[in-house]
Amino acid sequence: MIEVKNVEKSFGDVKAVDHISLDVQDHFVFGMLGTNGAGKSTLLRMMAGVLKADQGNVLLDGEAVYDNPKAKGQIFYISDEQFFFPNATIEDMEHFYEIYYPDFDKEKFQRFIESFDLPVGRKINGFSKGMKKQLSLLLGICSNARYLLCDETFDGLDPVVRQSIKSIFAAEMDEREFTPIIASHNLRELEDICDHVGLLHKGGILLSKDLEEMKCQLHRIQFVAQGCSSEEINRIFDVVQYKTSGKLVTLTVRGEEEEIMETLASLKPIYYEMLPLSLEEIFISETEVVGYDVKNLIF
Amino acid sequence: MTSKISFSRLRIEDLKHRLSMIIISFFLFFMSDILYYLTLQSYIHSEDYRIVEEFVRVFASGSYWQVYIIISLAALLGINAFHFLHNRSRVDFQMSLPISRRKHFWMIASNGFLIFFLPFLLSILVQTLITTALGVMRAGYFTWIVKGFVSGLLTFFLIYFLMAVCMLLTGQIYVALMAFLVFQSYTFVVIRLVLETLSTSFFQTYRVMADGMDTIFKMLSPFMVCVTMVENYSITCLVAAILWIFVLILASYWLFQIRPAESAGVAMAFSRGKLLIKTMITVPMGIVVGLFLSSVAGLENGILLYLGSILGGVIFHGIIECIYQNDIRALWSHRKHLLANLILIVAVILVFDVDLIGYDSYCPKAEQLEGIKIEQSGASFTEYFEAQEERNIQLSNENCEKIIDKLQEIIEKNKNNNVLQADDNIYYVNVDYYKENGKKIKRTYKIHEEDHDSLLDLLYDTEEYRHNIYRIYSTDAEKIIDIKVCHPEMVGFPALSDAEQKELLSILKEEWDQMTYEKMKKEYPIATIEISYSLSGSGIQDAVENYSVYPEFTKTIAFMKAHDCKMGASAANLKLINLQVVKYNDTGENNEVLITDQDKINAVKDKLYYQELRGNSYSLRKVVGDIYARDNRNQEYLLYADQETMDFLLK
Repeated sequence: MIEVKNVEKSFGDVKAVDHISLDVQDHFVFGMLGTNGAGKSTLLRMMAGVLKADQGNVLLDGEAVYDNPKAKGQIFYISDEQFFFPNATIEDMEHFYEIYYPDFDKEKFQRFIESFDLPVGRKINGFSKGMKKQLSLLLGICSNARYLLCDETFDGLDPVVRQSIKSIFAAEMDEREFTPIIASHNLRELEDICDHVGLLHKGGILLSKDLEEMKCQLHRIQFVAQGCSSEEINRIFDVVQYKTSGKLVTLTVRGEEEEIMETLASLKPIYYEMLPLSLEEIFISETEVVGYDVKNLIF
Repeated sequence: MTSKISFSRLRIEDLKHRLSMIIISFFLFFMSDILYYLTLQSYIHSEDYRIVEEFVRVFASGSYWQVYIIISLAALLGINAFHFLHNRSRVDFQMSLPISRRKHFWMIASNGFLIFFLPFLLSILVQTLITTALGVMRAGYFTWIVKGFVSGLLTFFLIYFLMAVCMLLTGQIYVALMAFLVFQSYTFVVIRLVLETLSTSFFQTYRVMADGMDTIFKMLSPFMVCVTMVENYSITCLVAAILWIFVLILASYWLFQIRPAESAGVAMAFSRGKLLIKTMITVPMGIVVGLFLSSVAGLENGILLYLGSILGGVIFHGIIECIYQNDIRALWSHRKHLLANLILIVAVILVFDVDLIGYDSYCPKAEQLEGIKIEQSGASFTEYFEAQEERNIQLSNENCEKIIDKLQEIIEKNKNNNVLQADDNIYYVNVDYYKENGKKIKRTYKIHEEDHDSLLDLLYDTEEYRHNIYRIYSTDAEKIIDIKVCHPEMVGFPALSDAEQKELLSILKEEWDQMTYEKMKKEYPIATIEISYSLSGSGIQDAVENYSVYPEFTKTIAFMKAHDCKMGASAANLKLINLQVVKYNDTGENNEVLITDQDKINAVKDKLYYQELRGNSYSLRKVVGDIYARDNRNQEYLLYADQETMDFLLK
């Protein structure tokens, strides 16, 4: 498990990461969400052992990651601008990573390169951005490192490739200890891949929750009930968001679906309905609770 | 994990990505060998085997062009090894790899050395083969090669790790290159220039930098250490090189461990050092600008120096801020730092201006001294051709005290008189104090004629001074190779046998010991004894002294008479037919007149003295003009006269 304990990092006067604590459980896909400048890259770089935290610690199985080859050997980091040696080909990079990651799976890598139809003999400098990201992901997966840290790697991948990578992730997670950590500013990209999502904003963490749990615990209901005051509604439901349009009441409430439906039925409404909530709406609701207007943070 | 990965595998992989440097290194040494072969061939064809041997020796021991090749290669390799630290994506890539910083450092540092070392070694082998094949191998060759090999290695390490430190301290390559240049020139050029120029401008008694300071400044510049090793393979140089290398390796290792990855692309990698570096550059460079401006204006220590230095400080502070922030608009930022630096600039100049360290008023106590050396400038007594010699005068405590008291009096007078204006009545006296702790303190005192006379009176009173200033007392007689009696009216020199020369020397020593400064000022010499030395002991003349013979040297005069030597201070015995009189004026326009009036000439003949005989009293009489006299045999003589006689002649 990767533990981030009260980590702080500043660059001059700018506090990029401000006392963040979170745990990345093994065998789950962790999504790190936030706008530009939220601190995602900085946090990822600290987790990869590139940056040293000004305060706090990043631990892997209890050991500090920074300048620790043993811990870093279990991590493969893909930067937002991944570096490749000038004039290097895929084979050159494969050979390079084989030295640093002795468990590198050469055969698997060859298979993946063929499946993704990446040109083996061509210099990587001539690849498109998307091809470079594909190559980075494949190198990372085949390194057999336990943790794959991806900084906005999925942004810019076409849907087919994205889907392929997701299925590879799933297969890897089935076969071995593998925990991808993906940073992105695109919620829709993370929605169908991540199991756990953390939302960063201005260097701090707003929330870190299991996606299913969020979805199960938050519901939207619409109903028309005669003689039901807002105070009564607030009393009987755990209301996150309350909107009215004439007699039509729209609530975002926390709780189990069955309980909510039973409670709603007890009001004997003229009309009621449970509506689906998108991840975006869940996030907006959750963050409005803590006082942040995040409509402009995510898209 | 690298515990499972061999270090050599990592190094091989790293070397694969530095092929261009490997090629450059081999190419440079290959070209060096080609040049060696071609130049050696041309010298062999010239058939001057002394030049061939000298060339082989110089090249094997490490010539200048080899040093420059090694310096360039070392700097390039330093940049190549550590330039990844200046690129963010590369830093992220390298620093995320499972390798400790310690191992990473040694991997790239050792590979840099390998890229240099193998071609260097190969080059030496090829050079040896060429030397053997061309038949010019010499007995001392392998000693020279070892010297060249050691100095080459030291040069490489010094420059390589210096560049490494510069790359580690900075986050942009052009800033690293500037830092590299600053390191090379900071002490030897900038600090030395500032200290020397301020001392010359403000200290009345400043003569030269203190002994050893020049060497210290040189040894504080890595580049000068490398170059000095070529000129002078001394222990000092080797020790300085080794110390530098040790410090630089430690510094680069430590900086690599602590360098933050986020420094990539930022001018300075460590924010803490910024202020110190800015001050270290702004203050001396500001003063350099002030010195330059005031020297151009011809006002070396006035208000212009202060204003110019302040302007220079503002300029350099702004430049450095622009470099730090990579933004021209940063010219006026950190005004508090700027103010502090300007105050420091003014303070440094003030230290010299008001002589806070008491430089001009320095005068040691007699009991602190082992010896003292006093020279009158412009009164060169011994003419040296090749031999140089350090001499100091070991005065007895009593005499030392008298001299020190006199010098103290002079210092006090100078302090109260402020700046002594240059005029004909000013003399310059160089004094070297030899302290008991081995230090030598040098001063030059400007003193008025009356103080100069009284100082020399005191000195000539002491036997130690006389016996030291006159080499006939202080030098072994075996080093005297010839003694001649000279007079302008003689053609050639009377031949003296060895025994006669020894006799003359003995008489001269006895009679010279009685001379006082007062007598030297008043009396006119009547002949000169020229003594030739071979101070090196090789038998070849390398120094000459002329001793004046005065009218009271009765024994010397008797000897000269016995050997038919001419004597006489003046032209009284000559049958002069004309005088070309040239009088020097302060305006630069000289008065010249040709006198043929025999009566006039005869009236002053006995007051016209031979310039050739001025000798030891050269500086004692002011020369107001020259008189070119011709006699009836058409012989020309150079004479001089006092002011009254000159005025009479020019009337």
